[in-house]
Amino acid sequence: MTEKLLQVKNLSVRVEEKEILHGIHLEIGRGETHVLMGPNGAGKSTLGYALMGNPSYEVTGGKIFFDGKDLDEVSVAERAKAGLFLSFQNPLEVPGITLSNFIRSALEQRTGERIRLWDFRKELEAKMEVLQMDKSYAKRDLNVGFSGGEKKKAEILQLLMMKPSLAILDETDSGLDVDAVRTVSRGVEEYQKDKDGSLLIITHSTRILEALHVDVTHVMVDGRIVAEGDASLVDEINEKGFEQYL
Amino acid sequence: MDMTVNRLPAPTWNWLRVNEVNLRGVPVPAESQIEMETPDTISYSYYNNEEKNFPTGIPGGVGADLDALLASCNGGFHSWEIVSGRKESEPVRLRFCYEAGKPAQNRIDIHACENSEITVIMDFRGKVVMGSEEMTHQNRLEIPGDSNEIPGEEADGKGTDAVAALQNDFAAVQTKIRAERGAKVHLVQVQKLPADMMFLNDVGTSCGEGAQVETIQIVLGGGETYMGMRTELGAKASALESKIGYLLDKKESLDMNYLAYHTGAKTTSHMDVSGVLRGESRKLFRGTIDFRNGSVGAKGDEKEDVLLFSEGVVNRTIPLILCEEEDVEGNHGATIGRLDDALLFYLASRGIEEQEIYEMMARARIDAICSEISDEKTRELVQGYLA
Repeated sequence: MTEKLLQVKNLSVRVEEKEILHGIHLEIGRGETHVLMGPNGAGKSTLGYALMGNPSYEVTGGKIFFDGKDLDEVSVAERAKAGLFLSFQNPLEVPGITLSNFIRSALEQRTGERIRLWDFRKELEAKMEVLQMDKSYAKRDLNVGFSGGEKKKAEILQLLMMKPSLAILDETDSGLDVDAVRTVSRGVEEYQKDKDGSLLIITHSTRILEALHVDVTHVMVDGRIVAEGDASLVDEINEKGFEQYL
Repeated sequence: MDMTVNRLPAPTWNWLRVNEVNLRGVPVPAESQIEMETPDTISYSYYNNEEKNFPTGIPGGVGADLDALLASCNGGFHSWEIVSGRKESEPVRLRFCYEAGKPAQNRIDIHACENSEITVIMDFRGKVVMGSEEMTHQNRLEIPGDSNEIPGEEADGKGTDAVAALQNDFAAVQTKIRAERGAKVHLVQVQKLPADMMFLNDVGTSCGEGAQVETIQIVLGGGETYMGMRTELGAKASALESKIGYLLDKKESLDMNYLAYHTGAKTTSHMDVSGVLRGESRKLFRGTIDFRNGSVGAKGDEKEDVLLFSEGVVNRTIPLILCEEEDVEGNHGATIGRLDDALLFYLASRGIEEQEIYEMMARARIDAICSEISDEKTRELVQGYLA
C-alpha cells in the first residue's frame, strides 16, 4: 500500500462569507499523479489555495495532513518548506527581483544554507534547457514582461529547481498554445521521473495530461468531489464533458 | 545659525507644515578633506574664495540660506572641468568621510564644456574610528521635544522645524553643475551616514542647448537628511533625468525639494523617486515642475513609489506642477502603500518568510535604481551597504 503524503479529511473552505468547498476528501500517495477536473467555478483552484494556506481562504471544517503533520496553523512559507508547491494560474510580476535570484533565495530559505553559485547556475541552465527557455530570462525581473507561456514555464522551472514532494499545478496549461503545452508537459514529466514527486494537476482540459501518467482522476462540481476513477476517466470526460455530473 | 531650507516655490496651506523647514542652531562647518580620483582627461582645480567665485548664480534646491552658510566659512571650492568634445567614461570619484563632532562642508563645481561627457560619483559615509565603536554615532540624536509627532508641529505654522543642536554631527555639500551645449553630466551620489547626523545635500544645475543631466541619488542611512536639487532647463531641448532611491529606518528622516524650471522649448524633466519607510521614519518629497513662458513643447513628469513597512512611518508628498505656457505636458503619479496580499502569498508559497519578503522587496527597490549606475565599483559599493 502506498504511504499517503497528503490527506484531506472533510475539508470545508470559505472565501469572504461564501462557502466554496463542502466536505472534501482526498488522499495522495508518494509518487502518485492525481488529476482534479471540473467545470469553471467548481472550486478546484480554491482547493489548491487552501492546501497552500492562503490566508484569504478560511478553513471552516475538516483537516489537512501533509506527511503526517496537521497543517492547521502552519504558515504558507512553512508549508512550502515542508515540501508543498503551488504553480500559479496567474503568476505575479515582481519588479526588482530576477528569476535567478528569486529561485536561489527561495532555495536558501528552504534549506537554511548558502548555495554555491556555480552549482546553482549549472542546474538552472540545464532545467531551462528542458523548458526551452532562453537563458536571458534568468536575469530578468520575475515574470515582468513575460508572456503567458513564459510565466508558466517560469513556474515549472521553479518546480524543477525546488523539487517539492507534492506539486499542485493550477491550470498550468490554460492560455498556452499547443507547443507551449508540450514544453510545459515535458517539464512536468521531468519532475514526475523522480518517483518520490507527487502531483495534483488542476485542469479543465486534458491537453497537458496527454504525455503524463495519471494514477487517479477526481471530478469536482460545486465544491464537492462527485466522481473518482483511474486515467480512463480523463478520456471519458474528454469525450463526454462534465454534463453527466452537473 | 538658524536657516530655512527646502522652501516650496508656491506655498500651500501653512497647517500642512510642508512649505519649508526651519533649522535652528546649525553649526558653522569647516571644510573637510575629500578622497578623490580624477581621470587624466579631466582637469581639477581648487580655488580659494579670493581666487574665484563659486557659481552661486546657479541656485540649488536647498535654498539661499545654505549659500550664505557656506560662504561664511573660510574654505574654497573644488572644481572639475572637461574640455569641449571630450567624453570620459571613467568617473571622477569623491569620497566624503565625516567624523563625529566635526561639522563639515564642501563645495563642488562641475563644468562640462560643449559636447563633452563627464561622470562624477560621490560617496558620503561616516568615518570608522579604529579601536572604538563604528563612528560612535549609532544612537539616535535626541531632538528636544521630539516624539512621534512631525517635527515643528508646535512651531511657527509655516513649515517643519528641526534643531541641529551643537553637539550633533553635521555636514553640508553643495554641488553646482554647468552643462554647456550638447554636454552630458552624470552625477551619482550614495549616502550611508550615521543615525545621529544631520546632512544637507544641495545640487544646482544649469543646462545649455541639448545638454543632458542625469542624477542618481541613493540614501541608505542618515539621521536627518535634507536634499534639494534645482535644475534650470533654460536652453532648447535640454533634459534632466533624476532618480532617487532611499531606505529609511528607525527615526531617520529625509526631506527633499526638487525643482525643474522649464524655460527652454522642448525641454524634458523626469523625477523618479522610489523608497521604503520602516520603523518610525519620515519622508517628505516636494517635486516641482515649473513650465515658464517659452517652454513650448516641454514635458515633465514626476513619479513616486513608496513602500510603507510599519504603522509608525510618516510619508508626505507634494507634487507641484506650475504652468505659464500652453503647449506643455506635465504628469505626476504616486504609488504608496504596503505589499499586496496576493504578492505576499505568492512569495511565501516559495518558502520565503514574511520578514524576508519585506527585506527582499526593500532591496529590490534599491537594486532597480542601482542597476542604472554604469560604474561597477559603485554598484558593488551599494550592494555592500545593503548587505
